[in-house]
Amino acid sequence: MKFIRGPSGRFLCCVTLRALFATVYLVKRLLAGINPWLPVFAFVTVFHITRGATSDAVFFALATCLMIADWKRLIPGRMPERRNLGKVLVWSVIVGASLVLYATNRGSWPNIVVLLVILFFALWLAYYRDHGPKPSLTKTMNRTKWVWMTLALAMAVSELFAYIFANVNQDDHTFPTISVLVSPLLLNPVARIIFLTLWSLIGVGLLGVWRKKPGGAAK
Amino acid sequence: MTIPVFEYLAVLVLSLVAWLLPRFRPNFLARVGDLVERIMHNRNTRLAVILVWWWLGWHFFTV
Repeated sequence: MKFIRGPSGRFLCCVTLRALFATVYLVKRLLAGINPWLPVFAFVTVFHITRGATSDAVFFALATCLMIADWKRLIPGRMPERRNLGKVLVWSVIVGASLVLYATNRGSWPNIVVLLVILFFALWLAYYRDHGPKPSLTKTMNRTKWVWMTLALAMAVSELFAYIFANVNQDDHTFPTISVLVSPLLLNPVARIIFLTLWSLIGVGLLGVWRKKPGGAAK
Repeated sequence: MTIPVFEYLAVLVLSLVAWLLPRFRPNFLARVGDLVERIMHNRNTRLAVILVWWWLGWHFFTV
């Protein structure tokens, strides 16, 4: 620690500390208001690039760009209010999408078009103005949050370890991922319809399009 | 039954229990709908959740 003794040493220390504080300040300014999921999506993009899954990597890269655009307010137009949709319209979309998936082969261009339409529709519904902070967390809600987070994490870790062991041992049968288990089922058109309906209903539940607005009834 | 399949089934069964339990013990666990409503309150999380949900569908229907 001899080098920090004397006037030049103290000067050097002072300059280093100021540079450090300035860097921290600049990084904080640069990252202010960042979507906390953005680094996660960027990491997942890199993960998919590493494992050679091009379409997944492209999707997560685009999703990361969308989050950056939302964070930096690059999306033009005014932020809309929350949209609610009628049950007839939502069920029509689900039935229409199911019919297309039933009538066409898995991975064919009509499948891709239907899924892309659903993506734009879902983003259109999810992109609306936030109103105030979250209500305070009750003890029951806190417990519920931790229970579901633990279950989701357990599923993710199981899937990750199955993926790693399957790759290391070159054995999909002993260490199947969820994709390996579900993919053969989806070759059957009826199974595709059931899966699509469940998946769509989960999406409807997440988007809350039938949920009652505060102070108003859902359509 | 292999170990991963047992793990997936265990998580599925526990999820079903966590989904049904609030109907009988509402003070112990909140309904999934209420939790989802809370999670989807902020646009940041809303966008992330919807993108992941859609990707799961894309992954299973096209890949």
